[in-house]
Amino acid sequence: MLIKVKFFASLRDDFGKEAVCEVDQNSRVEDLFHKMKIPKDLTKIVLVNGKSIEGNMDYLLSDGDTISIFPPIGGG
Amino acid sequence: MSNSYTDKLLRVNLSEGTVKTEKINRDWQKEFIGGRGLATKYLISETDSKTDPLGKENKLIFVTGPLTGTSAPTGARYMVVTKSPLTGTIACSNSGGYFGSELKFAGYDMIIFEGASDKPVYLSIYNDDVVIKDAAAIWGKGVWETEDILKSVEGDSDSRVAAIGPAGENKVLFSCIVNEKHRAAGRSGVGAVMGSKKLKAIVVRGTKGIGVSNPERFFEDINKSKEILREAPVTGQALPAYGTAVLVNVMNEYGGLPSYNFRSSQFANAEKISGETIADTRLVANKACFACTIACGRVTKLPDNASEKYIVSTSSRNWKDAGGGPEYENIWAMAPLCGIDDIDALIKANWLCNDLGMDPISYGATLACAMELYENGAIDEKTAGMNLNFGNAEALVKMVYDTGHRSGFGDYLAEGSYRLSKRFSHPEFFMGVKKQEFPAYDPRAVQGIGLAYATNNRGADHLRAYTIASEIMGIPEKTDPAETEGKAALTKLFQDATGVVDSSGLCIFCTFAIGLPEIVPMINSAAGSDYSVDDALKIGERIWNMEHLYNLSAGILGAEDTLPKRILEGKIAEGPTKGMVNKLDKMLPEYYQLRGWDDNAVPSKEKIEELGLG
Ligand code: SF4
Repeated sequence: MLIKVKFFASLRDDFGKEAVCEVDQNSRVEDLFHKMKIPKDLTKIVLVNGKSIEGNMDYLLSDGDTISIFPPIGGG
Repeated sequence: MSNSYTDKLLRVNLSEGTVKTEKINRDWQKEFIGGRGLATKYLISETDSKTDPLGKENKLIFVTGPLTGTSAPTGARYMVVTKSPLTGTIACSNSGGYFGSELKFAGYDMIIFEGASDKPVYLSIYNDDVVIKDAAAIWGKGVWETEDILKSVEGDSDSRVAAIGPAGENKVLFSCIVNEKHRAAGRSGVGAVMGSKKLKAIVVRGTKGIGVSNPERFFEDINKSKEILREAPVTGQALPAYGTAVLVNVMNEYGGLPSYNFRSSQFANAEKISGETIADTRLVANKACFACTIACGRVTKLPDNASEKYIVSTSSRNWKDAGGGPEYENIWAMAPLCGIDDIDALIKANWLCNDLGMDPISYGATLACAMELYENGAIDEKTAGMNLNFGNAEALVKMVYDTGHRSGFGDYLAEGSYRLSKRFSHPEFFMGVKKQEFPAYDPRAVQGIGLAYATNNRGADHLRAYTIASEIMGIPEKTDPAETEGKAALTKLFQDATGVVDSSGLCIFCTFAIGLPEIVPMINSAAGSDYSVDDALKIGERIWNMEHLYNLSAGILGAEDTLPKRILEGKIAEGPTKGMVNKLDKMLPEYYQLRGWDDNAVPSKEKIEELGLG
């Protein structure tokens, strides 16, 4: 299945703005991270279709999902 | 014993033209630490809560905290406390830069302005030499020119200036006080109070040092905090690199970035005005306030082909120079909320807000409200003087100038969106609380921030309980933004802890990495106090209740702890947060209970006694 992956802030230095990643059926967020070699400790907020996975790296992906990945950020 | 308080305040009576030095009330200092808490105690003791905010009976207090001007990281802040002309509530606006520390170096913790001058004046402070001077030559000028002129007239380029622009002079209800040209005590119209007193500026130069009570321990404490701030990814990397603007994309992806006056919760062109785009295309450098190791401030520059676009006639600004900002809140209010994606118009409007001395949050939100009124036919082109459709970047820049000068339709905008929406018979288009406009987080998408807005003592605002830290960023712990459970306790805790930070003189952004267990020891070793973390939280609670009691006695009752119908009933139409509303009724009763208040938000006798507020 195809997953759209969007990167933000400093993650763009290494991964660019956006990518499409092909993963096997029943892949989890963890599998996608592994396949794209995204270091978990550099990421903080992970949204799948805008919904936070609340740290659950076992979250099951579906074909056509958009995943947005942010490093730790702050603001006001 | 030497400590980081100067123990002195300046009392400036503008009606009589007199300046006196007084000792700070030591009991109050102990009860409230300093800063926001101490100044509020003075305001409440010396003024009637029902006073006209723009009348001469209202007072305007500039105050620092025990860590302002010390080398404690982010110890840059000063606050302005008064009664707000926008909300009628207590106002406390907070600014960084170098003005607060300079005031301490001159030997003062606080300045109380009372009365009103009948001609424009400014206050000149050079250590013990404090003089009220004529400001006829600078009245009417923008903040930047005012600063340049005053530095040259006073003959000291190291002096620091806090000034109002035309907006404050014209009593725009959301005008602010700006120091170092781009740092502002922004919200609630404190600039209008200064304008009502005909006080154009304060110029301060101080050459005295600031002592600390226990130097050895103080340096241990601050070094520990500095190390944590350096190592934490948010304060060590993200804020310096992207500033607060990094939140544009985060909130948009999540579906919590209000656009088109809260008719939507995402903005299709967010990327064009995002922190990443600014960093890639407009950023010149980042910038720090006094003693700050984070340096979240932005310095941006327009490309040559944009510097002549949307020019409005203002001071002798060279648009090719670099200037401060824009920050997340300002970007949001003046771009997505108005449906605008022109980054250069946004940067210009932001600079103009700084030069005219106007809060860009309330300005942008008021323009967004006007745009909705326009698209609904409640305002026509003749009334507005131009097309006010959502997305009109030219209107953003033109109206900022007109609002600051109260010219044409700008005179209506200058009253804020609560009054504007009522004037044109659509009060339901006002998006805020207690007559003040919302900041940049959709309370339908993020439940806790809705409670924080509704219960805020200064009207809609995010900086009294920044629950976004927990609900979106996971600091200090992640909570689910869609959940209401636990948000009452979270909001109360953040409100009380923020009272401590604001009273200490530190910047709230330090709390992305350090907490009261690091902050309280710094206060103690600087000020010679011996607060525990629990004592400090009790002080925060005392400050919150004191401000709340002031509002109640001013006639702003519990019924105003609410949110607009669009937020409570108007479901988000599309995007990841589709269908959400704010469930305030699930949080507010518990919040009142935790506060020890009854159903009408009146604190119990026991609570008042417990906090020593009887
Ligand atoms: S974090 Fe930003 S606003 Fe706060 S003191 Fe530092 S530079 Fe100033």
